[in-house]
Amino acid sequence: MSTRTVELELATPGVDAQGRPTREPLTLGEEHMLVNMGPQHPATHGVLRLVVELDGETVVRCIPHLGYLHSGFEKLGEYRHYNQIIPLTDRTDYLSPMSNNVGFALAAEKLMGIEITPRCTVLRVIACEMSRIISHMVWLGTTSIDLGAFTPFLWAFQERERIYDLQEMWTGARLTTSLTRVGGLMADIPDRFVEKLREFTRTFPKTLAEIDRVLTRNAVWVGRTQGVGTLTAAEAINHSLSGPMLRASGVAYDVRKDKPYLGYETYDFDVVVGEHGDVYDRYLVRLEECHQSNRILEQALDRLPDGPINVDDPRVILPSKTRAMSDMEAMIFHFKQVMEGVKAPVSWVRSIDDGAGGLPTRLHRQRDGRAADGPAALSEQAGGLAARALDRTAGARLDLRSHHGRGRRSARPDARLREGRRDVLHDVPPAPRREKLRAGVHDVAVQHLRRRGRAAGTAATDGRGGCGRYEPRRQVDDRRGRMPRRVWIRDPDTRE
Amino acid sequence: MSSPVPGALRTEVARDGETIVFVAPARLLETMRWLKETPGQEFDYLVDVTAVEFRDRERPLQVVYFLRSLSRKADVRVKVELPASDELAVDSVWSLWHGADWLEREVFDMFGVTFRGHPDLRRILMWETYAEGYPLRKSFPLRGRFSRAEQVRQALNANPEAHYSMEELSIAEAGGDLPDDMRDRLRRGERGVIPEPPNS
Repeated sequence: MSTRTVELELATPGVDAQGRPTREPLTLGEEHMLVNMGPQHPATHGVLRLVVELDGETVVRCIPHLGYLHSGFEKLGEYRHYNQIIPLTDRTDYLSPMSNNVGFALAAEKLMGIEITPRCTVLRVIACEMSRIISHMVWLGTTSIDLGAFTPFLWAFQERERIYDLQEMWTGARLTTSLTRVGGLMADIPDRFVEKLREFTRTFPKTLAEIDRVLTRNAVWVGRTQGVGTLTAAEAINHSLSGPMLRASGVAYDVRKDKPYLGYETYDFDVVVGEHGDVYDRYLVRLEECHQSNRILEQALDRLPDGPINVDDPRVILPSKTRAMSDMEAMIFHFKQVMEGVKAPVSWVRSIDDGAGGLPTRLHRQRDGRAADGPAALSEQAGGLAARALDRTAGARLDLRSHHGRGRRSARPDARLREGRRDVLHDVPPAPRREKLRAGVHDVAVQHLRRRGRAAGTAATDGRGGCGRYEPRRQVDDRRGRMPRRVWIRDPDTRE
Repeated sequence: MSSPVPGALRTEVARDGETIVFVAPARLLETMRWLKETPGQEFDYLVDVTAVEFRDRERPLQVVYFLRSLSRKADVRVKVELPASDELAVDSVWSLWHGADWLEREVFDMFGVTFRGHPDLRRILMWETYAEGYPLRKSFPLRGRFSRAEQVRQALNANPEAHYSMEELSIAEAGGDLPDDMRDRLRRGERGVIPEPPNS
């Protein structure tokens, strides 16, 4: 058997004076091995089967198989009323059920031209942002535990648990919330909900700061996420990535800003974009998005108006029991809604809702030309969602180079990109003192944005020494021209 | 859509205000390239690919492409109508957007539409040996064609070799990992049996 020698990068503990991982020669056999991983494997956090070709410990090819959670939601949707489909949307991405409910309801309401009430709008925003936080917490927790960091996993899941408690207060269910109805919500928020959510938004940033402190400059974390699974902006767009995956590659596409729904244009928040499109940037983007979600939650709680949660439209909302028992018309509407379901005009509608998990929830409602068909011609892209959910799993957690199994991923981070990253950091002024920090930070962020705008994925080399490679890099969408609430550059010497 | 789209048969406006462009199947790729690359159009982001079949069997099946221009913040839908009498086949847009890979595989899996020029057109959500046809077609019954007992029987009888694609098996063969009898079977072309879907 022939052998060859490669240089293997050791992420830790071998880091030289410049912060580069030391390289060790390693001799490998040339025979490739086929390893079947999954569909049940602790590291997939779900069901995903990967057939990987290994050259020693290097993955040279990876062929993903998915569909293990496919449940045919579109097919089920063909035979159901609109409100009966909502429980199915819980299950399309069970990490963020509430935002899926909202996406579906928005599509159905768009189809019927229903304008939801102000209170319902704000409550749905709260639901979406709560979902985003729990979904990001799962990503963060499971990714960190895969890299051996057990503590942030527990912190993240504890925060998730607090949101689950709130969801349970609201809907009675932790996971399968089925929150929305066409034209409103299943229930108004209970007493003490606002109070408890305020308590959450007050304390959640502390946990994020702790996670940030533990992971962002951690040698193991950095060594195993920087330069891994890198996608340039052009590649990310070409592969139809979305959500944090796309934004981490430097594409400032956020449906909440680009195509606002639920009045998102009236909230003050920033679109977080990364720079290098690797797992590390995806982590930073998700972490910062949690801060932004927290901001939105605070604003939503401040403006939460009183009033009804359901529209006053007997076509879609069941009449109250009192009215149904005393009023003939109400009785008829009640009967027709229960027996025939909500009626909608024939049309095609698509609603995009910036889903929490890196995938916008896309729902397509289609109805056939003949009224007699009932909702049988519905088609919901739930399967597509599931596909993309797994896509995200494959792309982000396991760092596949590309979706279709043809890409190659080296276990060693791409040296050229690593160079590029250091060069970018060279622009950081050497360790600003604390009192000058705010002004200095702004300059740095602007530089980063300009650099990114000029050449995505590549960076000029200037060869000057930097202040270390573990700097948290936080950027904002340059089109907004605002700084995120929490941006700072840490002093690498004092580690403060 | 200020300028005329090449290959467009007609346009409609959906209820949510988005333009729907109907394109002749033969000119789909040309139209999509034009939409993607023409300055002023720049629909650089393929949001989704899906298909619609109507209960009216006379109406053609539609393959729908959702495009978005990230720079212009504009959306457009492109539809191709495939008459049921013809072969359900259309050109793949994989060469323009690699994101179409899994999306087109999903449409193939669920509706049985073939995408010409797709690099790896095989079932994606259903397993490769799935023999009941295409689940999202209107002719497909809600509970599937086969009884639960039949499905179990098929699953138990399935040849595990069939769960590896030829590409995957080629890796193993290069490494000499395959058992001798399996290599012999593969050489004789006796890989796991993939039954033909029933004609409907």
